[in-house]
Amino acid sequence: MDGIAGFMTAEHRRCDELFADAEAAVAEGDWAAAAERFEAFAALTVRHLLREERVLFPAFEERTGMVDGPTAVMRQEHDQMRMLLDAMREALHDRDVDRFLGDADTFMILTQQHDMKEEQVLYPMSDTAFGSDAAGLLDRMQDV
Amino acid sequence: MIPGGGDLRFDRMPPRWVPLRAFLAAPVLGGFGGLMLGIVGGSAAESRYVGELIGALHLVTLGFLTLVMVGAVVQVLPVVTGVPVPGASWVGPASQLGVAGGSLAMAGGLAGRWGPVIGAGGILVGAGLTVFAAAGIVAAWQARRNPTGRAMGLAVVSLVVVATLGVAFLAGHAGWTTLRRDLTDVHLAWALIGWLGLLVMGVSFQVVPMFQVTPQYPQRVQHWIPAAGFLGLVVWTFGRVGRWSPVAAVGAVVAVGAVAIHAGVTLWLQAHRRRKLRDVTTDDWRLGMASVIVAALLVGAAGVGLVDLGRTGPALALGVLVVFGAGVSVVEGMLYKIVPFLSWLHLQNLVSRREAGAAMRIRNMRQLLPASGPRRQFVAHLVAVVTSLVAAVAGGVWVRIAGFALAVDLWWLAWELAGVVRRSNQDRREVLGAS
Repeated sequence: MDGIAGFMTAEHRRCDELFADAEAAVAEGDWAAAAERFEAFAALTVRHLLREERVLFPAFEERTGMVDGPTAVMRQEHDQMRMLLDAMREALHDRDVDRFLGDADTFMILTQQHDMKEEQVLYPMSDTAFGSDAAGLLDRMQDV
Repeated sequence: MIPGGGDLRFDRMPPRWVPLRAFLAAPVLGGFGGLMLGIVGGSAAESRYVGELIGALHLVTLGFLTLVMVGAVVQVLPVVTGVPVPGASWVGPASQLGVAGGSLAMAGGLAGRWGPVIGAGGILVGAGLTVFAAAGIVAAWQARRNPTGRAMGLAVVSLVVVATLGVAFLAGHAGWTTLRRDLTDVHLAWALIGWLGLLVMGVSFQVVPMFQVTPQYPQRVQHWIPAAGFLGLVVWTFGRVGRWSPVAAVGAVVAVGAVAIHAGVTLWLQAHRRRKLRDVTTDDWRLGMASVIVAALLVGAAGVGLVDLGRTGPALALGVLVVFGAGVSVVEGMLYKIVPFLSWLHLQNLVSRREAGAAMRIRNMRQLLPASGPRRQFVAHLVAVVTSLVAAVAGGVWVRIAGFALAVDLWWLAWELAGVVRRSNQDRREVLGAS
């Protein structure tokens, strides 16, 4: 899989791996490693969201004319993800294992069903809609 | 062209109570199946054809498993494949109403030997599943390029075979037509390998790697295993109905081999998962896949003459492994994720729509469903599976014990899920009160 779909899907999987590492450190009570791994995970996740919000979504909306379509729901779910990232960071600061794991589990399911929609629909649609322009768009996304 | 673009709205999902109502009702209905076995006791397991046994079994397979699976297809297929199920807002509730009402009527009718009630049950289940299958096949056909969509489509086609035979059997029990018991095994095979097995495969291709952060299922497994399971069933059915034993044997090996390979691959992937955290859903999947492998070994042992599946005990044990060991386990594990998530999502959407509530902290999934309850309920489920296996072989008082154990298992699940709704309703009132 190449193009927008290939790059962004691979980044989803990388975020999942970083998430699993941070969650494991919290479960083991290794707070120093947990903080470091969580910030690595959160940084890549937020960067991924920004690649979409700043470049992909506006271009998609302009190209397809679908302003109130899939991208509106994606933006709303991005807000929910950011809220859960903040909640996890707070639980990490308070060293509250249960609260962190509860927020983490919620984040995981929210994110996975969000990723499925992007990977099955939005990214393939984008690759099709942009055609030969997709490579240039991907370069701009990677610059974020 | 933008594939599927024009009609794509992720937010066009049925209201929260539509799937939740079915997910809460399902374990209650299934528990009645256990209660029925507990009350009837040993006489229910004297043969595969005792009315109370058939009724109780269908409260679990239709009332619990199918009720949840129908809801899951309507909810999950659009998310996983991007293809909406046509008429989702009424297809889900209508088909679930038919399945729930029909399974109760047929169980009551079979236990009381009331022909018209059995017939009414058959009509209700048949109507509910027809509505679902028509919509499901249309959606799955549009999603056929996706391995999950394809496996789900083959599962729904299998359901058509199962339901057609099942309704014909019910007409026979009601005294309207001749009862074709020679086709019972065909009904069972399509139900357990086709409908249940292929649907679990389709869901697993997406759910296992994403939620447990495992490697992906190999492409060959995703492309060939569901198709092999389905083709194996077709070949076996022709061999069975036409009395060509070698053909039936080849079909059986392929169909059972397909589900066993899928179960083995799933266990291997889970052993290599990056998300090491152990929760009850992971345990439910492991128990489910291990049960499939033991069931496949049992069929294999029968194939080489070590076990006689024509005898009541081994045949019932096989059914227990697939229905309670595999089906109920996987569905319980799924419900423990879906119900808290849907409740959380609903609360979250409510909060984000209300400025005054925006500062409020709502409960996360673990606060909506504390882990200790499901963990203890899982032990009750294990007890139900083990006592049911003993009951299949030993009969007698064990049937009563297994029946009550099954009722405890499923009603405890219902209690845990109802707790999620109760807690989320508390939060909901607070959010509404704050604005």
